[in-house]
Order: sequence, then C-alpha cells, then structure tokens
Amino acid sequence: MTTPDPQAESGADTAPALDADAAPAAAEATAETAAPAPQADPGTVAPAPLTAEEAGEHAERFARLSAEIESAVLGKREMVRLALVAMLSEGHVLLEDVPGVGKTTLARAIAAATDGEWQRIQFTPDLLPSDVTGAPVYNQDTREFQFHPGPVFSNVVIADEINRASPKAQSALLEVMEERQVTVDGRRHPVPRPFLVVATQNPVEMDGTYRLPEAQLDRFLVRLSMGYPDTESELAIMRGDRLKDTEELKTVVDGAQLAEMSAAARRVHIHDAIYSYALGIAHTTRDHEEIHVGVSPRATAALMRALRMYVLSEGRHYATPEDVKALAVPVWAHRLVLAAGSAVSGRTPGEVLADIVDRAPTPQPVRLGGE
Amino acid sequence: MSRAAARVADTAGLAALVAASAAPGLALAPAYVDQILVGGLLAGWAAAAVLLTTALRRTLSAPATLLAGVVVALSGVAVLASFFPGPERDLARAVLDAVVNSGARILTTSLPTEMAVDTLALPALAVWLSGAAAALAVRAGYPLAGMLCPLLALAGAAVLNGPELSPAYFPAALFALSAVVVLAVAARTPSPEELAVDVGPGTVVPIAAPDRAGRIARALPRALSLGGVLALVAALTTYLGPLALYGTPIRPADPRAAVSPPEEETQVVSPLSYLAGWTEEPGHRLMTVTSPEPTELRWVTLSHFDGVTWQPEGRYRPSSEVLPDPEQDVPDGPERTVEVDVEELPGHWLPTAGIPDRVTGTPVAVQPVSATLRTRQGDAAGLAYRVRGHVPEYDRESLRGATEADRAEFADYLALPEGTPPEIHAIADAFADGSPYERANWLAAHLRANYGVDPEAPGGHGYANLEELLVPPDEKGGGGTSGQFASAFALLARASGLPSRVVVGFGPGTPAGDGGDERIIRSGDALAWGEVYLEGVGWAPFDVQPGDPKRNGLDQGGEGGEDGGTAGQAAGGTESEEDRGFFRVGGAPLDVGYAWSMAGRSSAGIVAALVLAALLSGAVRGARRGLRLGARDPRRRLAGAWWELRDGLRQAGAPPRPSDTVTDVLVRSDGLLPPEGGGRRDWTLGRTLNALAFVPAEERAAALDAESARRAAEEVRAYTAALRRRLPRARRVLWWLDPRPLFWRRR
Repeated sequence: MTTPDPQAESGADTAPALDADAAPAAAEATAETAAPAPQADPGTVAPAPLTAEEAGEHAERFARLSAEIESAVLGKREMVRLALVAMLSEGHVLLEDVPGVGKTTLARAIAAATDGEWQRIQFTPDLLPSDVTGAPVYNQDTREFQFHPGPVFSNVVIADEINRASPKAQSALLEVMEERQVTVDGRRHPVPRPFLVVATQNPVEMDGTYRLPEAQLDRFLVRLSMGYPDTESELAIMRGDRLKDTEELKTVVDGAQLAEMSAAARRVHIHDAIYSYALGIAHTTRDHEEIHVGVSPRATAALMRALRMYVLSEGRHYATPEDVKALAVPVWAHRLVLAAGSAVSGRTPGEVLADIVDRAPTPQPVRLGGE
Repeated sequence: MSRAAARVADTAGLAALVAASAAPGLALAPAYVDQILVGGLLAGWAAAAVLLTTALRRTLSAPATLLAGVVVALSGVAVLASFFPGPERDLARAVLDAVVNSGARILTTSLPTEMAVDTLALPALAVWLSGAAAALAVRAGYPLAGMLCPLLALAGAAVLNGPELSPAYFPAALFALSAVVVLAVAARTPSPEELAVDVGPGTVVPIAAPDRAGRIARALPRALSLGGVLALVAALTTYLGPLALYGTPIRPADPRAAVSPPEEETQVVSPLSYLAGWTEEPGHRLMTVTSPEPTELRWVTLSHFDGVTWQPEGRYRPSSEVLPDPEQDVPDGPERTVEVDVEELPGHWLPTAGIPDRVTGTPVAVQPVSATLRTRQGDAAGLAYRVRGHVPEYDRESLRGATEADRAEFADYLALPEGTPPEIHAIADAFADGSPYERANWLAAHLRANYGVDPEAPGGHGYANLEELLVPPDEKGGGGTSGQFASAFALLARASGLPSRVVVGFGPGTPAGDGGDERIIRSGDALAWGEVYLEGVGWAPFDVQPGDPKRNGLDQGGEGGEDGGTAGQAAGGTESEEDRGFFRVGGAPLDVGYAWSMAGRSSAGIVAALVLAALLSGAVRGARRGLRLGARDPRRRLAGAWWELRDGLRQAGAPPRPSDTVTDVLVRSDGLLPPEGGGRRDWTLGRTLNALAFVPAEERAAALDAESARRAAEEVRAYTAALRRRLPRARRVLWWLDPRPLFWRRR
C-alpha cells in the first residue's frame, strides 16, 4: 500500500493527505521542511524545545522498531540504526558491499516493520528511466494516457547495483530521491511517505560500470558498509533458528508515528558549540592537503539533520560532540574527493576524515556548563 | 614541522652525529707528536664514516653497509701507510702489521706517540667503526644506543691517554653536547597534542595547517628547552666536571705501565764500572760532538744499589722523535742542540744534552724518569744522531725552599742495602740538621773538602771500596775515583733521607782543532756525579769530586766551598725572574677549597629549594583537590571532579587529547585502569557532564542535583587513588609532590 503523507502535523503546512495529483506547492513545502536549518536555528522563531520525556517516548518507539528489524538482520545494530536515522531524516542510504551480506534483507525488514511497501529495481545497462519512474500508458476505455507508476512508488526502494545502469537511468532515480516526485507530461506524481532509497553498489566488480559521480553521491545521506556479521550472528544465521523471515515481521510503528518522530527530531537542541565543532571539521576538510574537494554546505546541513534524529534515537533532547564524532564518517566520507596523491597511496576518504575528526578539538563541557 | 625545518633538523642531527663520532679522535690526538694533524685526521675519518654509512644505508642493508665501510676504512689505512710508513715497507704487509699490532705499538711507545701507520691504524679503525655503528643505530631509531658507540670509543681514548696527558674536557664536552642534539633531533616527531589547536566555542580554526606564527609558537618552547639542556650540559662538562676533578688524588691508571715493551739487553755491566778503566786511559776517543757551545752530556743514570754495584735504570720505552717530558720535575734551562757521532761507546745508552726533547737520526727508547736515551736495537757504537734538549738551571731561592721528598714515592731512591759501612751513617748524622738542600750541600762539600782524587784507586764502588774511601781525614787512604765519589755521595744522601741516584756523563771534550764546532770526547772526559731529588725543584746534581784539573764541567761557575755545590747554580742565579721556575707554575690558580664549598653550598641550597618547592606543591595540590572535590556548589564540584580526573590521567601518562569528548576520556580512564570484572564503569560524570553543558540554557539549572555531583566526585576520588596505587613506587611518591599539574592549562 501507499502510505498517505503524514506531513499534516509537521507544523509547516497543513497539507492534506496528498494523492497522486496533489498540487506542486505542497511538494515544495515538504522539501522545504526537510531542510531543518531555517526552523532549528535558535535565532528565528523556534518551536517549543523537545522535553526529555518526549525524547524518551520517541526513543522507546525507535528502539522497538530497531529491535524488530534486528530480529531479521542479526548483529547489525549500528547499521540498522543509521539506516533508520537516514529514513526518518528524509535521506537515503548507499550500501557499499559485496553480495550476500544482507543488504536486501535490511531494506525489506525496514519496509515490513514500518508497514510500508518495498520494491526492488535491479539496475542493468539496458535499464530505461521509465523502467524506474513509470510511464504514461494509453487507456483504451478512457481514450487517454494514464500514468502507470514505476517501482519507485514505494516506501522502500532497493536500487540494486546502481552503478551497472546507464547514467540516464541513474539520474532518473536520483532525481526522484531529491524531488520526491516524478514529473511526467508536466504533471507531478509525488512518491509516498516515508520514502527511503537503499542503493547498493558492489565495490568488487567495477568493470563496465558507471560509477556514480561525486555530485550524485552527495544525494545520499549516509553511506554504509554492512560488513560480515560477527561469528555468533553468522552461526545463528546458519542455524536459522533465531532468524525471522521478513514476512514474519510485525508492523511496530506506522507511517503517522514515523512522521511524528521526524517532526520531534527537528526540535532537538543543538548547542552553538556543536555547530562550531562540526563546522571546524568541515573547514578542515576544505583546506586539507590530502583532500581535493571537501564537504559542501549541503553536507553540513545533512549532518545536522541526521544528528537530530540520531540524538533522538538515543532518547536525548540535546546533541553532544560524541554524536558528531559518530556521524561524521558515515555522513561525510562519501562526499569527499581525495587529492591525487592520497588516492594513489591507498588512503580512503573515510580514513582521512577519521584522522581529521580524531584531531579536531572538541568543545569542552566544563567550559560551557560548569565553573 | 615544515619540510625546510625538517631538513635543517636532519642536517643538524647529522652534524651532531659527526661531532660526537669525532670526539674520541680529538681526545686521543694530544697523545701524538702532531696533535693538530692527528685530530684533523681522526675527525675526518669520523665524518667520512658517518656520511658514507648514511649514504650507503639508503641502498644497502645494515650489515652490508658496515662491511662496505670496513673495506673503505682498510683502504684508508693503506693510504696512511704510504704517508706515515711504519716498520713494514711492503704496502699490504704494512696494512696487516698496522691492523694487527697497532694496539701493542701504541701501548709500548712513550708519549707523545710517533706518527706512523702502526700507531694510527687502531684509533682510525675504532673511530670509523664507532662512527659507522652510531650512524646505523641512529638511523634505525635507536639514538641512545647509537651514542653508546662513540662514548665507548671516547672512554677507550681516555684510557689510552692515561695519566700523562691532561684530561680531555673539550672532546668530552663536544661529545655530550652533540649527543644532546642527536637525541633531540631523533625525538622531534610532534605529538598529536602539539598538533591540535585550541578552539573555543564559536571560533573555527582549521586544524591541519597552522600558520607560521603558530608553528613558531609551538617550536619556541622546544627550542628553549633544548637550549637550556645544552647550556646545562655545557656547564656540567666544561666547568663542573673539571672542578670536580681538580685536585683529586685519583689518577687514571696508566695502561702503558701494565705492558712491558720488549727490551733488548746488550750490556749488563754497569757503566760506572767503565769509569775506573777510562780514568786510567784518558786518551781513548769515544765520540765526536758538534755543538755551538761546549755542552756536557748525560749518559746513564743508576739508581739501584745492591751493595756492590749500581745498576742502570731500566724501563726504556720506544719513542718517537719527540720525546716525552720526564715524569719527575726538572727545572727549565737554555736549549742546546748537539750532533753526536759515536765512535766507540760500550752498551746501548746514548749520550744526550741535558733533558732531551727531540732526537733525530736514529730510533730511540727513552727512560721516562731520568730522561736518558738508549738505542732501540743494538749497540750505540757507530751511530750518529742529533739531539736537542735543555740544560736545567737552578736558582738558590728555590733550592733553599725545597722540602723533603715523599718517602713512599721515592722509596726506590732511598733504599740502602744491608751492610752499610758505619762511616756513612756517621757522616750523614753529622749533617742531619737543616733543609734538604743544606744537607745535600754539606755532604757534597764534605766529600770535596776532605778527600782527594786517586786515579790509581782500586776499581769498584761497593760498600767495601767506600769503606776505604771514607776514612777520617787524619787516616791513611781517602782517595777515590769519580765513580766512587758519586757513589759515596748518593749513599750518604740516602742515609740522610734524601732520594738520590748516580749519573754518568761526559764533559764537553776538547775542540777538534779545525776551528769548527766539533769537539772530541775522550775516555778521560767521562765522569760521574750524584743527584738528589728536592721537592719543589726536582733532581739536582751535586758536584762531589775534589778539585781535579781534568774536570771542568760540572762546577763551571760554581762557588765551591761550603755553600756552592750545585752545578750550574750561578748560571741559574743570573737568569731573569720571568724565565725562572717556568716548570713550577703549577701552584693553585683556583682556590679549590672555596670553589668546592661554593659548589656544595649552592647544591645544598638547590636541594633545599627543591624539597621546599615539592612540599609546597604537595600542600597546594592537596588543598586544591579538597576544594575541587568538596565544593558546595554542585556545578563546581562536578567540574572539579572532571579536572581532577583529567589531571590524574595526565599524571599517569595517558593525557586526554584536545579532541577527546567526555565519553572518550572515560573510555580512556577505563582502559588505563579496567574496573574489576572488566567492561566499563558507570561514570556519573558521563551522564551528567554533557547533559549540563549541551542542554538548552534554561534547563541547565535543573540539570544537576547535589547528589549526582557528590557521587561523581566520589567516583573520581576513588579512581585517582586506585590509579596512583597502580604506579611504580617512585612515581607514587612523586604523585602529590609534582608541581606540574598546577601549571597545566585547563582546556
């Protein structure tokens, strides 16, 4: 099913449930609210700050959701958490890993636990943009063209091996990710909410593929690498006894509740020192000798978006430097372009960024709060 | 550190390595005839060893580098062999001989060592090896072990130099300072803490590329502390070290005394025995001497008397052309150069002019106490050589001021074998009062005044002959030869407690008659005299032979009579004051006692100040800890607990880094001292500190209750105490006395 858009209580706009032919203005409004900066800025009219009790409630809900998904994806607590954070902060996930480590299972589990639909698009070199977005089809009865929605019209879309398709097909998906709508024949068709694209990329077989350009990597909120499960989890997977099938997962949180959580995350308090801290790291990436292109303002905003949800998932109503440290690499590393020398010497952007974070002075709590 | 600075540091490190490796060579150089040349040579070797090893190590493995270096070093020895040939002429054998026998040659030659490949090879190879090993070790990241190699070589040089050369303060200081620089350069990798920049809230400073001023600001304290250490080491090595050793009774052992050089005896007969025969046949030509002015020659000294004969002194040591200073004091005097052409002289002793300091024409060995010479091999007859020396001069002031010699030191020169004729003691006792000089003078005067020369007297100079000679003036006898008078005087002096020996020498001879400087010395010119050691003056000859037309040497200018016994005394008396006593400017230019008391008082003061400062710091720190952990205001208390924890970690050697968050610091704490049962501690600080700092401002007041703050303080108190208990004893004691935490920046 397609969950009606739960944006109604977001406070930005009292948009009614949107159908396929909703006004473009509403979509604009949602895109607007997706960027938290104008609202979270303490300088402007601030929404009532989140209380500790509220944060606790949402965290409890998040924990239930996370636990349900983990029963299908064993031993990947942090992955699940980051994927959920990405979904709830209106971002998308790029999974880079070898086949068979549970990328698809993760996406299906998320869809199942949130009462959402999921679709899988296998990207191949001959995939056409309309295979992704859908196309107008002539209706014999009504004698007119009718839009036939493609697989992107689901809550969770798995774009498998996205680098195998032609750039044209890739950009069709990336456009939907950014715009959250499909425009055909001048009409906009918004995708359902929540909307999460989990694209996978196989880093092993890169021959004959179209690597995603850096500009498009920027569209993904986080890049995750599943990695192999630990021995205990893998044993459980082999036995199959503790492992739930995604079909068996119960719906723990529905779309409305997810929208509530997203809205609550925007009210998380972020101290000025935290902004400074994150910005310091960002500036360092821009001047660093090992980095050719540092993080963009879009990336710094994305970090703050993810940070709010991440903080909420812990049941806190305020962010700490620890949270920034935890999120910097998953949110930023794939957006960096290394300088030629560093790339050749085998350093990965993640390593360079981790080094920078490891050296950036953190705001000290006693300076701010005590004494 | 920028690249240019790194290059400067590398160069400084290399230069310091070269200097440290050159120090042993510089320390050893004064032992050689041409110390500047040897110092330069060995320093060059050290530089070559370090630079070559550093260059080769880029392409070769460490053992291969060392081996290649040894090949180069041996080629260097071959070059040395062609410039300073040794006993072997063939190049290959010369190198082999030099490498194998160098150590023995150095130890068996007297100082200063001559410049030859067989005396240079060992120091050169040692300097090379220590330099190469040091370079390899420093390059491999073991600078301390690297410095050990030149240090060992330096110690070796000091041992080889022994007690005769002045201590090598300058090379030691050079080594110490270079070692400091080498270690400082090796340790220059900046710590992560130094790299980070303090960023307060609201300011953004890029971390990776600090500006020039920032770099200088960080480099300055390091440079200052390095300068401080250098100054301290320089003061220690150049001022305090010499002061500590000044006037110390401890003398380094002489490695040369431990080995006895091979000495070929050609003659065992005492030279004194020839005297009797020569007196009977005075016209025998012994040698021709060429000298601008008539000069007496010293031939042999005899110090060991066994009751029958006097034995010449042994311990001759091969020497270079430049002869060592005699071991015992001798006054200075005018320089004389003579060329000696020996025609017929028994034994291997070589006549010299005064105290010789340079001999050319034949390889010689020298007796370091008496400064007499012998051939290195074979007889003296037929040899021609040129010797330069100074004839000691004595002035009456210092003679009169002379004191008793140390009996233990001069025991050999005071020995009187059993069976001394009673006359000797009788005469000695008759002149028992007075200063050493007066006694020796009276004894000499007594012999001169009361006995006569008798060329016909029976040979021999043992107790039996002296009994014949030393009869009371009114009895029959009382005639003797030059040797007998010298023997009698020496024994009388010994009986009177004066160290003495007999010297055999020659008078200036007669001109050859062709108007040149040549003089012929015949057997009649040979004579013997006695010498007495006077503390403060040295060995002083005394004229003991009653007037004799044939002798015209020893008492030239002497006053004779009761008060003028010493040869050359009047000549010395006319010398200007400046020249007089040149050898004795030893004295004490520095009041050692005062200097020591100053050093002692200042160190006592420093120690007291340190103890006081430590106690004060302990008190202040204890008070601060109490204030921090016991503060009334929960917020202050929490912050205090936080600072105490950070200081504790830093003191335990695991300082929090500027990039550490609260969680990082607590994880670090658990890592340093894991809680019982493993896992992580449930720190109250972890729950409260961030909540207090990063919540909205209006919630802050309610974010912390007194109970949490108390708990946090208790946890930190228990943790730091446990941390302290885990440390080694010394650091545990110093934990509270260490003043550094008082100055640590809070960030």
